[in-house]
Amino acid sequence: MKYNVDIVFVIDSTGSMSDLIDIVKKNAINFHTDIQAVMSKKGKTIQDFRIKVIAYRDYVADGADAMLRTDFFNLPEETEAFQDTVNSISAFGGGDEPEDGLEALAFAIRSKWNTEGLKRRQLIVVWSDASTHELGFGKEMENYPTRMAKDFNELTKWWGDKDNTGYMDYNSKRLILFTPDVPGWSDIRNSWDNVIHYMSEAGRGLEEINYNQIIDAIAYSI
Amino acid sequence: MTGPFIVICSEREKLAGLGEDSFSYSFGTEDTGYISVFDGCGGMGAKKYPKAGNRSGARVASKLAAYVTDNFYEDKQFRFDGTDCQRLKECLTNEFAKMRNTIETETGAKLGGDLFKTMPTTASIAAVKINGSSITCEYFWAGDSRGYFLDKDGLCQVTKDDIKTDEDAFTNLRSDGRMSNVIHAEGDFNLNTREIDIDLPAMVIASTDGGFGYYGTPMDFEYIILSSLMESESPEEWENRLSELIIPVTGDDFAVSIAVYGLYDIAGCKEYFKERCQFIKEKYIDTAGENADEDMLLRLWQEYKPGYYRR
Repeated sequence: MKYNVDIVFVIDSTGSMSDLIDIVKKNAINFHTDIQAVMSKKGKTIQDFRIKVIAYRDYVADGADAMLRTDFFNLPEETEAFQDTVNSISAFGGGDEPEDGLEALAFAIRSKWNTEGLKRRQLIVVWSDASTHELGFGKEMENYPTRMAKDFNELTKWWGDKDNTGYMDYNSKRLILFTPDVPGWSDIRNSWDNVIHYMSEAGRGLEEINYNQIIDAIAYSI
Repeated sequence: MTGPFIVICSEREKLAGLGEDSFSYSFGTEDTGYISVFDGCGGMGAKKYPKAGNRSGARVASKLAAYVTDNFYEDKQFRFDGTDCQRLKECLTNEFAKMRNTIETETGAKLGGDLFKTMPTTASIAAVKINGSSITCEYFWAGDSRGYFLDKDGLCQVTKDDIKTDEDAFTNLRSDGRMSNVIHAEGDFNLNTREIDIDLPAMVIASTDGGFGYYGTPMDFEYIILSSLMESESPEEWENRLSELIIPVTGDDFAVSIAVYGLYDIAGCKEYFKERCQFIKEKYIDTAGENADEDMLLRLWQEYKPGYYRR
């Protein structure tokens, strides 16, 4: 079975997340191969594989550094460019404990997804050790995005369900949360379809997660 | 009349020792029996359990469901009195909960979300009671494993897939619909049921999606069942030949279980289904050929569909 796979990494890049960010940096160059290896064991092959990165912090505390967004990289052809982008991310800032993860997730949902192919997967993988501000918490800031979902209800509509198409394909989409069981993320787990939540300990930088777990989680959700 | 005369189960693990499909069947009494297949859900149930030999929850689930169903039959619990489904569901719920308590450890990440289930598996079970020249068949199912019968009028799907989108068997082969209901250890699942009477001769069939889900049309699945029969001189040959036809096509583990009632040897089966096999081949398989476009396949499906859903 051949799959077209798009993955968006949504990475909390505030101060406590340096260990997780190092894992991503260290393994970016092998990521495509490692995912393909796990999928091959299941009789699945990736045909088109693309990945993009959204690195987020806090609009109020971090201003211009609140949100870094890339386009999709085609792997393996653009592995170097993907590696360079990941290497440029460093863990700093954040201000208060909640971060602007929901804005980052909103950007991820509205990615330009590949709509070709019978078997498609549109994956969003979120890494954070913190809860989220409510949407719009930083809306007074100069660089707060226009056309952002105004509240959780609207973000839920963007995600969609079997009766209301959102911005992603209902059958293809998957949301993988490596986050604590805290407001924002727990609301998503309890009310959205196509979600798997690996619940971590808040404030610990996802220290319990290792690379193989990440690969397995992503490959098994495809 | 006792029966069935022939029971086959073609199954295969894509990776030896790691397969997540299971089956069980039994025909111990003269007038009742059952067949069943189960498909452990590898995505939802990928978590490994050290206390279960590091097997995945999906594999544990399908094996356990097969074991529970077999015990249910051996304890003479298929009574055909309208209570079988509720009692079978209770057995599955209780045994899955016990197994979870045995193999779950306190360490490891806590998981949640609808994409995660503890020990998830599909099920397709057909319990049969012989009534002379007909059978009463109780189908039980969860997920996208299917129950059918096949008589002189062709294959008939009896179960309705638990998937989140509403689609027929042709569209389902082309879509990627997610399952809406599977058996799992949290216990909040449905076990669906339908009871029908079937005139004999007929085959009762249970299949995981690895058996039927990799063809261009549902007619192909009927054809491989019948054509493999035509090429065989014994039930063992039929079983092997069916596997040989499925293996090159499927991308998955598979289990296909067939019980034939009302026919008493392979020669009799072949004679009875020869005309139907020829009809399917000429009208659908040869007409489509190797290069049929989607419009033609859809047209052929529309002709086949009323018979496929006739009950």
